[in-house]
Amino acid sequence: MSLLEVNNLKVHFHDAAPDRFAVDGVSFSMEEGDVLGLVGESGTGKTVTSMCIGGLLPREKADTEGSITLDGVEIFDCTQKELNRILGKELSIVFQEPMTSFNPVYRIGRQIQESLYVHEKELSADRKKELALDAMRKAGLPEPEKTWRKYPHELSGGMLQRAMIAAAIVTKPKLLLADEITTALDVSMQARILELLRKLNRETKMAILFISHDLHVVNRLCTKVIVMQRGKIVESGNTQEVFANPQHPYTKKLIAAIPSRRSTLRN
Amino acid sequence: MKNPTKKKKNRYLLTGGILSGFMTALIVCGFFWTPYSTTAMNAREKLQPPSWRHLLGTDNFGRDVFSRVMQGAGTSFLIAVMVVVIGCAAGILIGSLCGYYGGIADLILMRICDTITAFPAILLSLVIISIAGSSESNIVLALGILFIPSFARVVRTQYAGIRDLNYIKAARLEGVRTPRILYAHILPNTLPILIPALTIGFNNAILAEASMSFLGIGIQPPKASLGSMLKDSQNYLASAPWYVLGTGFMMVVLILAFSLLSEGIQQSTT
Repeated sequence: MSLLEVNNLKVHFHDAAPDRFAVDGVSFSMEEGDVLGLVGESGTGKTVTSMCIGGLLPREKADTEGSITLDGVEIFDCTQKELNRILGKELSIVFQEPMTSFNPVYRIGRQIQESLYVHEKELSADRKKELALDAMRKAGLPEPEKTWRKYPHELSGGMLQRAMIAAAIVTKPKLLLADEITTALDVSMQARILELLRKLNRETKMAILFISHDLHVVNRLCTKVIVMQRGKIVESGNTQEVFANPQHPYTKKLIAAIPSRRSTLRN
Repeated sequence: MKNPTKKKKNRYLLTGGILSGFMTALIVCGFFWTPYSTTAMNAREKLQPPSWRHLLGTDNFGRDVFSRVMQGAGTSFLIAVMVVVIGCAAGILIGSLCGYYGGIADLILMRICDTITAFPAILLSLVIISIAGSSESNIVLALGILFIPSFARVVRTQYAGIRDLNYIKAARLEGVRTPRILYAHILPNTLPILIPALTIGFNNAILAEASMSFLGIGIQPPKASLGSMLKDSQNYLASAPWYVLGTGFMMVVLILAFSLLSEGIQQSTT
């Protein structure tokens, strides 16, 4: 049984044209320890797919079809209560905009602990703090004890992004869903976050579904890649094979769009 | 962070703090001790002008105005606090649910709030009092209900804005249950707006209680409240102006103190 299995997923927003599907028959699966890249330009349904996996798509706004099973549990059949038990425990989601992803009135440490408050209530306060500090260290936050007492506005975007990752991994989830997490960061910070994700994947066998429009980043991080266009998967396979030998014209175009050291500003 | 204008002293907060501290001290003192009995009548000393013996003079029954003002302000203060507590608690409950969930219930509840606001407050409280009878708890209840919409509206607007912010989404993604999101994650973020609303509501509650007592449907004699004292004193406007002036002055200072405090809080949080 795969860790995550998405089968013929279709999403239709109520306010879209009747034949226009945001996600149109997407199927893929992930095993434990996989790092899967989901790429495509804006509006191809990458984020909608990830929202479905997290059970976040508001039911009054969109119809869904198909099935998503996480560790054997069908997400679409879950009640909110069951979802709450999975979210943050089995599946953690980190998204872009780290600057606004922390509550401004609480200290960082408390917010990294939040998942433990929700999912591991029986732990003692000291143990929770210990686990959270450990997650912060793993996420590469310097001086965790000091950062613990800081408020979100006192940290930089890169620090906050790492704090987000710390908050996501504190419960040791099986799957980390990273939605465009490097987009808002500068290149050197991007590289450090990627290195961090690779390390976490190696050390904890945590699977990562990495959503990005940046093929360059996907190429460096992921072992497998899925290319989406207009809600459909147009190409999938091992990253190296896809990049070395793209089959679909759209993939070719996307790969050609990666700036290389030799490319110039000419058309 | 280093904003030069922030270094400027917050005069509102300072004067408001001092004034309301002074008033609170006076009121708390009034609960336990007043210079003279507030109910004992003294025919020989009636309508005395202010003197060292009677700081604000005496009223038509020879009772010390200062003592009665101390106690009356306390009555008004307590009622106002309870009104604000009721209005605020119910307002937070309604406003948070409306703002967070939205939808048809939000629409209906907000229209009900509009309806309550559209009525003149005095008229509505008059109706409630004449149905339920005039007692302190009924006044608190009537005014409390009337104060719900103003709080509900403020809270609702805040919740509707904050619920879509990323950190609330992030909390939801961590599997945090809705009540915890509502009151542990969102509520503290509404405080910069809620605290001024509280103090403004408090001032309005003092005025509302005073107007009700002035109309004779509020606090009943011999118990003193600022409103009922104003009502009694109007007959002696010409012969004993200190009576109405002392009472009015006390009310003005009380409201001013908390208005300044709220203004000061507002300035220090923005």
